[in-house]
Amino acid sequence: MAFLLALQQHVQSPFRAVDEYDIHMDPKNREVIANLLTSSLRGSNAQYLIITPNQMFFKGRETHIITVQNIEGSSVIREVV
Amino acid sequence: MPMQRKKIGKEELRKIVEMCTAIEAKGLNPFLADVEDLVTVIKEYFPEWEKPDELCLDAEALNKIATIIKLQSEWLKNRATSLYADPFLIEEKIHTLSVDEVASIFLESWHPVVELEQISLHSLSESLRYWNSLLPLDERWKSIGFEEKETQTATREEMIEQRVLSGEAFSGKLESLWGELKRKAGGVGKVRYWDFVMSDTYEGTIERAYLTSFLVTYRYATLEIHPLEEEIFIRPFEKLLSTRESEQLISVPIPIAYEEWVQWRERLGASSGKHIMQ
Repeated sequence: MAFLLALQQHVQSPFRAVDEYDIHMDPKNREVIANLLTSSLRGSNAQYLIITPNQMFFKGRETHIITVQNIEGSSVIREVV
Repeated sequence: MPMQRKKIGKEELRKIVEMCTAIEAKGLNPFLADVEDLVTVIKEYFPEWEKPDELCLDAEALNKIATIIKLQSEWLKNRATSLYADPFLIEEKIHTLSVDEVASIFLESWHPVVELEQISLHSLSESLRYWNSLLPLDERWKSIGFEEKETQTATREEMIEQRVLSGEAFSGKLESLWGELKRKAGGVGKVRYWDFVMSDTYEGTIERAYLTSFLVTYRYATLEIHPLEEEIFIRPFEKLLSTRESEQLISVPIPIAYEEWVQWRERLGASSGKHIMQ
């Protein structure tokens, strides 16, 4: 992730997507990397679309959370307000 | 002891000294020396030595064998390091590298998906053919059966209740549990593991044990295991220790079977004179 974030500093695209980057991390490292991701965006115009199956905790209000759950066979999409 | 036997004995000891010195000086595989055999030879002749020079030769041979044992230990450690790299060793190795070296390794291991040699005239014409055969976007989405979904909303609190979101930062949970551990450890500086993780519910106990495992892994505390008494204590550190200070990391699995948990609760209840509701 450190390497990926280092590379991202030289990417011009304002949108980046990262899928399940935290799947093999323990909760402490998951939190460290989540904070690193959000702090790396401070002062830039970029946005990340992050997909994670894990329970998460993102500090600050600059995070927009959408949950997708499979409830009785159909996808329920909810926006956390 | 006949003179002849004594002479052979001295000769044997000199051979041992010479062989060990050669292994040490030339950096040969120290396992070339069979320590058990060498010690047998020394033992065999030892009761017979009387003069100081004979005893000195005996001591020298023994000292050389000790050096070989040390070399064997180092050799094994070195071989183990080169054959098996666990996360601790990898971390140690990364710490010894300079930033430039780490960057070079990353660059060498990074293989972009599109490489120059993949873009050939043939692959370009194939791509063009594929591109031209694609349906316009509008028609493609129709065939996929794209379905618009209505988005619902949920509050952060609802999501926390459903355990989709976490209400508290994990590091915050660890810090508060560490504070509780330090309070409970008090002057003795340690507390029984089971007394600490035990909660009113089985789920609560599992959660506390889970968090406690992180306290130990991340060096907020350490475990003190007394195998004979079958007791485990948890001892908090006053300040968070760096993982680099740790000498050797080992994993300690502690099962929490429901039946055992019930027995523990009953025992704790009996000792405190309380009745515990299950």
